[in-house]
Amino acid sequence: MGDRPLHCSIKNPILLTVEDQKNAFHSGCKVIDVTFPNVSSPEVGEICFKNYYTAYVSIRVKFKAAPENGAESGEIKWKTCVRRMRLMPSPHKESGSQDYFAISKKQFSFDISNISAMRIILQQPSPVWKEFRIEDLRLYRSSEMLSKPPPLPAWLTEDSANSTKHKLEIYYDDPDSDDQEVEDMGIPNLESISSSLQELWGLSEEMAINQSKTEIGRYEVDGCYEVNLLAYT
Amino acid sequence: MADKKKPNSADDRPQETDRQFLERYSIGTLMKDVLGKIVSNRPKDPITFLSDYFDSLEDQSNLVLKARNIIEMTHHSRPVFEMNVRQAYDIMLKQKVGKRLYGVNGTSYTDLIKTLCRDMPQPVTTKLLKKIECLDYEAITFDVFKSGVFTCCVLQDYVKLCEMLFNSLDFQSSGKVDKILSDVVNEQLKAALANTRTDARKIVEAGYNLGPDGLFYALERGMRSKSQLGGQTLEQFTIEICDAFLSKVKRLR
Repeated sequence: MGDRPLHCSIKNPILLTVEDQKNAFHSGCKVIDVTFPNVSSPEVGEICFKNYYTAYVSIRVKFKAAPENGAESGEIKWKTCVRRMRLMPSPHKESGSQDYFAISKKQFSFDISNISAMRIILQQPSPVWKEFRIEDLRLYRSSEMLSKPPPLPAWLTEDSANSTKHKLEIYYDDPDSDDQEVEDMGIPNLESISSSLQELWGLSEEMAINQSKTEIGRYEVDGCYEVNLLAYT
Repeated sequence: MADKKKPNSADDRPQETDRQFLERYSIGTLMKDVLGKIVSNRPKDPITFLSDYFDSLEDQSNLVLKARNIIEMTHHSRPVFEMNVRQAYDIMLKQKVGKRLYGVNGTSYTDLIKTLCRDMPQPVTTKLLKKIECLDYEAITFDVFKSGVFTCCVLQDYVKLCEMLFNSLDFQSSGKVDKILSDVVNEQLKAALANTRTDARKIVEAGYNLGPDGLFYALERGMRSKSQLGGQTLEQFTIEICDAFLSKVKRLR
């Protein structure tokens, strides 16, 4: 999930207002511009942030211009990827005001890939909260491990009903056991063998950890000490 | 007056000569040393420890033997072991190597390793020496010395454990172990040791492979092959199991 961060430059939020001498008002709308200066083909899989009293968030994306349509470069529009996602159930109240959010690919209207810029629009219509923003904004590429998770090791998934101890008990209790080979050869005491083996393993590991890392300082080339070789290297 | 003095001086002299007698042979320091060693090493059998200590005092001439006795005073898992190794190294530093040159060189280091491994089968010692031996003229630093001595002491424990394992595998008490069983056990141990992970999963996986369940599967597979490969004696078994240990010993460079 979070192991493929996308490098981008995030600008400070700008409060959008309608500039007018007489009617200055607090619009309750801010925009955060995100550009990707060093990334060749940015694609976004996930957007994570911490909310601070923002009620709704929208994300608009500008795609890179196609090279042959040089004349149309002025007409690149901003496309809305996430439309007015509600972060706070009630904008006047506290709930959701300081929660952590992760917008994943499923919530995008289209796949965000090969974009030139992104705008994150914050809205807070309530007059109660004058100050609002989002913190710790992070963009991540889409993860390649979207398919099944890695398989669990055998020792974690083994069912105790199937375990060998259970099977051994069945062998010993059942006098009409079909398994002649097991009866003929006999089973040595597994518990003691196992504990001896584990102790042997433990000793070997302990010894391996305490091996000296210092070198004695031998002048050897490929395992043999040849003065002539040393003279040429 | 003279009469009174005489009995006094007769009483004083025996007391002084007692103390002087003890001091003449430095018995006091000897006793202090032994008591100090008993307290720091905490042997399981102090009486045997005392008798071994006094026996070894006679081997003062051979520095290698002296060093070996000090190293074997305590088990390698105790913190005093490191102090004993340092003491043994200091003793061996007094070895004369050349004209006005004293120190631990390859010969005395190899001698010490050989005498520490005197209870093991010869092939095991040979293989161990191939990995950690030093040429005669090389100077041995304390780090290398400590690592080699520690490996030998752990190997001593390992060989004793091998014997216990042999006895449990030899469930028919015939003195020989089925080669199939020995091969299976050896394979499991080598597989567990070959795991190169560095986190706790290594321990859990080793525990699973070497636990009764994993062993049962491996043994069942081995027994179903039905081939008769004969038996192995204790010595052959020990040599094979020690291969797993020796694979983890780093070769000296």
